[in-house]
Amino acid sequence: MIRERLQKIKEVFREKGAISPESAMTLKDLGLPSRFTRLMNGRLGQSGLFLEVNGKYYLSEKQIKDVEKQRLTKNITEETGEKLVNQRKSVSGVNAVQAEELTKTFKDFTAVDHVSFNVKEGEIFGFLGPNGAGKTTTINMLCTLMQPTEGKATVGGYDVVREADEVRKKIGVVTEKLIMYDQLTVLENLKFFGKLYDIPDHELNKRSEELVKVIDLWDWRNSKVGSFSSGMRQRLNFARALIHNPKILFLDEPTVGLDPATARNIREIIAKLNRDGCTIILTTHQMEVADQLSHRISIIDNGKIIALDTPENLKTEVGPEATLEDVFIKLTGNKMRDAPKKKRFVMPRRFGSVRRRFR
Amino acid sequence: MKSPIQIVRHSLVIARKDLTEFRRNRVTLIFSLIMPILMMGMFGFIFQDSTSALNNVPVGMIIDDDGMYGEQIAEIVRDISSSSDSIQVIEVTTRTQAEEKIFSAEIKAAVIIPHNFSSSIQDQTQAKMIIVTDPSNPAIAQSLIQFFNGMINVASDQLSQQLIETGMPYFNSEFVVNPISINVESIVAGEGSSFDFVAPGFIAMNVMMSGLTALGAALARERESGTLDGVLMSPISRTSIILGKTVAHTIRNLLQGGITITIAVLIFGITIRGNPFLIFLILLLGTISFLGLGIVATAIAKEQESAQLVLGLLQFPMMFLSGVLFPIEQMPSILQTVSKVLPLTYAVDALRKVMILGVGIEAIILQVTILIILGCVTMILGVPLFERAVKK
Repeated sequence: MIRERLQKIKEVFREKGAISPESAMTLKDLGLPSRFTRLMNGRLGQSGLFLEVNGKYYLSEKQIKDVEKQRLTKNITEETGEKLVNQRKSVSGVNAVQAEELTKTFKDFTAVDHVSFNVKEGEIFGFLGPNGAGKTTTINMLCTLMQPTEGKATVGGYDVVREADEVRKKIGVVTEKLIMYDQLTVLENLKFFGKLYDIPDHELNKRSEELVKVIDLWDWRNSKVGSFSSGMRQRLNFARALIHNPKILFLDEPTVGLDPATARNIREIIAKLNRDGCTIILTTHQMEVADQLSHRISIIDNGKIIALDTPENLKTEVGPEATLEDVFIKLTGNKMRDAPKKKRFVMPRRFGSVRRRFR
Repeated sequence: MKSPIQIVRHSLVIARKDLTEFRRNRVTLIFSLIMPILMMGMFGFIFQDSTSALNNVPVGMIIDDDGMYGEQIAEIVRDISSSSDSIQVIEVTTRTQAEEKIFSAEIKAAVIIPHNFSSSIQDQTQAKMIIVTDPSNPAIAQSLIQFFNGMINVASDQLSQQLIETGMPYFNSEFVVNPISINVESIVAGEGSSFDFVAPGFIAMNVMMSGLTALGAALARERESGTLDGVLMSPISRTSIILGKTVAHTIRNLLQGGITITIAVLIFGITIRGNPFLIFLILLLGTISFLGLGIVATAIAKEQESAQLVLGLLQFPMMFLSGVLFPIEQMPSILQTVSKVLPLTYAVDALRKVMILGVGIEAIILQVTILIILGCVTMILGVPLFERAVKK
């Protein structure tokens, strides 16, 4: 068991090049007495460091367990509090997404009102806004699921209406609704969606297996996904969006409802994808996630973009020590809302001294 | 624009996925087989030994006899035909012609007055009348036999009265009591049971029911679970989606039909006289045209709830007016007209003829043509309607 786990960590290390993988062993392997091992385990586990003996690094058993629990796929020596911002890829000048006067009207309701913005290639673009502000509608138009009423948009240089198929080849979409067939297994799901992108069979097999390992569902690769926990489903949904190696990723709440370790893991995968050159449009209500990951942030409200800048600039404008949440609330107000806005039913006074409101 | 090869390849990917889903969904699989068998059993027993009211049932009459007595009987039959609404006599010249007309459902039975009819009476031996019935509709056949028995009883009485009055030299006592007897012959060997009538009806009805609702339900489910968006966001043609689903449901329906027929043969002992390939063809055409009709209905209705209503509006008249449960001939003429515009009528009719009468394709060419036309028209209409429906 331990050897297997160790092997796993070695693989991770080999990929990241953090420490020489050959040297990663448990303290038991050193042949140390068990009392000493226990002592060292405690210390090592807490400090999160490695034991170094003669230039070789050793992991404690507890640490191995911790590591596995967190499904750490990145450099372990990295300081955990360190901001992912520092690893952001430099942004090119080419537009990956270009929206011009994009508008969508449903019957008597304008969901998106002449919205214009550009997302540069290699950028992580935070797309924030309160419920019903028009985020999802905008994303749906960019993903070719909805047709704009007015205005135009290009994604990856292609028009979302006229060249929808070219756009579809370039984009991967992680939706809030998890897209998968319950009756199919993990691999079957990935392969089904892969085939829709005309990926050759051998390549598809290789890629789906790789992705299954990345999302850590290897042991469940041949199980039907119907019985999976929401975290497992969310990870699979993420892999599904990546199956065709998209250059542009739309992420709608990718980490909501996940346990802290998985959420962090997903955030790290997002950061890694971005380092590898992927443009990411991120929609979320989790301000700290957006703050941590995004190069630029736009805030949309009532179908209009009301702010668009780097997270740092947005925060400085509000004040020193301000968080992105402060910015958000200052700009959008603090009343509760939901879409579409409905008239509240107000109980007439004569039914009671207390007026109750029904939403 | 996608090439046709790509469209077909993608649709096969979707069809395969759908079939895997069907296969794994055991409960639905089992219940979709139990339903038609249950209905068949129920109605087969309910309709056992049942007769139905006759309402302008076309009956062929062949007069081979050239003596006076044959003509006399024919006159009685014609009289009844013109004075009542129960039967409608069509004169036919030969037995072969009559059988052809039964196969093509122009007539439901044939009355034959054989060439020795008059001479038998003159020789004072019992004269035989032959009634050829159609076993694909046992209730009607039974009623017709009863009807003619009654008629011949009256005619026999009249005849013996007439013979006594004319003063025949001697009398054969058996002959005097019953100068005319009836021989019933079925057009195919063996006896038709109520299950023979019910089984093809329910198989066709099952094809109709699952065909109409299949795509609407599948799309609603995929939309609900979000997977439809996943497929729509991939660079495949919308035609592939609908084509793939049609292929998957057609295969499923055919397998289901095949299994249902096998079970019907094993449990209810129905006899299949027709060509299995012809049965397969009818099931295939039926499935495709009802799937098409379902696509059109769901695409027009947009919302799942209203789609259900539109589908109900199509399903229920078809269930009751297409001859699945009750023979069309016993319905009032206005409903008979309605039944003529319901596509299920043709599927049931064709299936019944092939399964029970064992006719060849030439006898069901009209039904097959109608199903092909319906399938083509609804599919051609359905694809763009579907594309419009998924566009938001």
